[in-house]
Amino acid sequence: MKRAASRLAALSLALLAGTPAALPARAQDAPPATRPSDDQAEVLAKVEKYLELAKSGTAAVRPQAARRLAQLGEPARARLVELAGADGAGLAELGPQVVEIAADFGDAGLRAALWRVLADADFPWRGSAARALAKAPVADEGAAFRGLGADHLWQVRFAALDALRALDLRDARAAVRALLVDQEGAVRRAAAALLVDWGEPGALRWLVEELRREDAYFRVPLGAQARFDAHKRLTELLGDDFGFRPGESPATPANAAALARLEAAARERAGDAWPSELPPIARAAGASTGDVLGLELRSCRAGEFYLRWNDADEVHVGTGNAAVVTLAPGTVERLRAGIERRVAELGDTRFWGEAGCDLEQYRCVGADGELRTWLLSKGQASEGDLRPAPLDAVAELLLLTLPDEASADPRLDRLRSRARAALSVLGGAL
Amino acid sequence: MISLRSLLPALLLVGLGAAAPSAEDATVVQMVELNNVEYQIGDDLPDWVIALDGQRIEIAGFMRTGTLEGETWFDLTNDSCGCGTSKLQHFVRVTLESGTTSFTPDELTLTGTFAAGEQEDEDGFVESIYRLTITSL
Repeated sequence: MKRAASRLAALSLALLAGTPAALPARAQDAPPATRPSDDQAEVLAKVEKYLELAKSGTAAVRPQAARRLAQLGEPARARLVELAGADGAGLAELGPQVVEIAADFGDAGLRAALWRVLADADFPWRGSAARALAKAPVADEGAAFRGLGADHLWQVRFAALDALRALDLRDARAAVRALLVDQEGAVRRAAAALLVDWGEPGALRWLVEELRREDAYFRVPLGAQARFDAHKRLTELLGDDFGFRPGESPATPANAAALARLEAAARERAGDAWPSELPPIARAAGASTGDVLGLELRSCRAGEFYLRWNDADEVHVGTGNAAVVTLAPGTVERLRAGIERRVAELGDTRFWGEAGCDLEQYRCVGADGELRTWLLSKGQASEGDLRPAPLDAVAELLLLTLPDEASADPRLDRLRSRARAALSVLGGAL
Repeated sequence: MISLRSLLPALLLVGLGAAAPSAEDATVVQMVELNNVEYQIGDDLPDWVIALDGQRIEIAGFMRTGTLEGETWFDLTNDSCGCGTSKLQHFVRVTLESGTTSFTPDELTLTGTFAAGEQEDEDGFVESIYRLTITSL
C-alpha cells in the first residue's frame, strides 16, 4: 500500500513537471484512471513546495512550512518515507525542520528511521530527531529515552526529559536527578521542574538559584536567558512570580525583595526537602568582568564549548558558574598580543563559510578596548578546511593554555583534546 | 501641548519596566525581553510590545548567519548562531532605508522605528512579528 502511494506520488510529480520525456516508461503507459485528480496533484505540489521551504525558506518560514507539511497527512507521509529511505539516511538532506515533524505522521517506519539516525553520531540533526521522537513517546521507548539522558548533546538530553515527563516514567528519577548537575543550564532547569512535578519540591532550589544569574558570554546575556526560563517554570510551579522581573538584575531593590518572597514560598513548599546547599555547577554566577579572549565552539556533532580568558589570567570553561583554570601570570596578555598579530593578517574579513548548524567563533578585546569577532560557520554543503591559516594559529595558541588531564569535572576532563577534536569537526584539522 | 495619547506608550513602558529611554530620545529595548514573549501565530502581543509600535527604539543584537550580502534587510538576533528552532519572537527584521547589508559577526546597536505585529508573505507564512526600520548600517 505504501509502495503504491509513493509510486503515485512520483508519477504525479513527473506529471507536474510537465516534461513527458522525463517520465519513466511505466508512468507514460499508465491508463488515465491511475493519474491523480487535480486535487491530488495540487496536494502533491504542496508537499514538494513545503519540503523545499522547510529546508531553504527564511528562518521564520522553515518551521511553519514543516508544520503545513505535517498537516497534509498521507501524501506528505508517503513522500517522506520515500525520501528518508529505509535506513533514514535521506533525512539528513531534508534539514532539521522536516526531521522535527517526521514523527508527527504516526508512521512506524519513520519513527524507526528517526531512532536509527539518532544513534548515528555523524547525523547532523540529532537534536531535531530527539525532539521529534520526544513529542509523543511510545511506552516501550522508556529505556531508550532514559539512555539519551547521558547523550553528549544537551539538546538530546533536554528532549529525553520531555519524553520521560510525557511517559510519566517516575522510576527514571535517579537519571533525572543526575541531570541536576548537567553542564547546560536549560537541562538542569528542565530536570528540576520535572522532579518538582514528580513530588520532589527540594528541586525548587535549583530554579530559584537561576533567578540570581547575571553571567554573560561576552555580549550574549546567558544569565538573563536563564532567569526568564526559571521565572516561567517557577510561576507555573508556585502559581505566582511575587513580582520578580526576569529582564532586570536580581540585585535591584524591587527584584531582591521579590526574590526573597519567592524563595520563602519555595522553601515553605519544600519544607525539610530544601537542600542545605547546591552543587557548584548549579550556583549562580555574577556578572563577568575582564574577559579579553573567547573561543566558542558549537557543533551538532561534537557538542558545545564556551571558553573565556580574562585579564586575571584565568580560563573560564562553560556557562553559568564556569569551571576556572588558573594560568601563569602574564599568560593572557602574551596570548592576546600573539592573537592580535595573527588576526591582523586577516584584514577586514570576519566571516567564513555559510549559515549552518556548526560554528566556531573567536573573540578578542583589543588593546583599544574594542571587542572584535571572527566567525566560521559550517553549512551542510561545506567541505574541506574552512579555517584560514591565521585562525589556525590563533586556535593553536588558545589550545596550548587548556588542561588536558583527566578530571572529575566533565567540563575540564581532557579539555584540550576535546576542543581540538571539535575544531577538527568544525573548521577542519589544525 | 502634549496629549495623553502621545504619552501612553511611554507610560506603559515605564509601568512595565521593559524598556527605558536612551540619551538620544529613543527607547532602549532589550532583545532578551522581546525573545521571551510567549507567542504563537495568531496570539496577541503583550501591551508593552504594542506600545512600542511606531516608536523610535534602540536595540542591540547580532546579524543572523546566513544574512545575504547586498540586501536591504537582515534579521537581528540575540546571537549569531542559526542553530535550532527559529521562533518568530527570536529576531527583529531590520530594513535599511539606504545602503545594503554586509555581514558582520560583531554586536550591532541600532536605532530606528519599531513595528510590531504579524507580517505575512504571499503564501500566508508569517515572516516577522518585530520589525525595525533604520536609516543605514
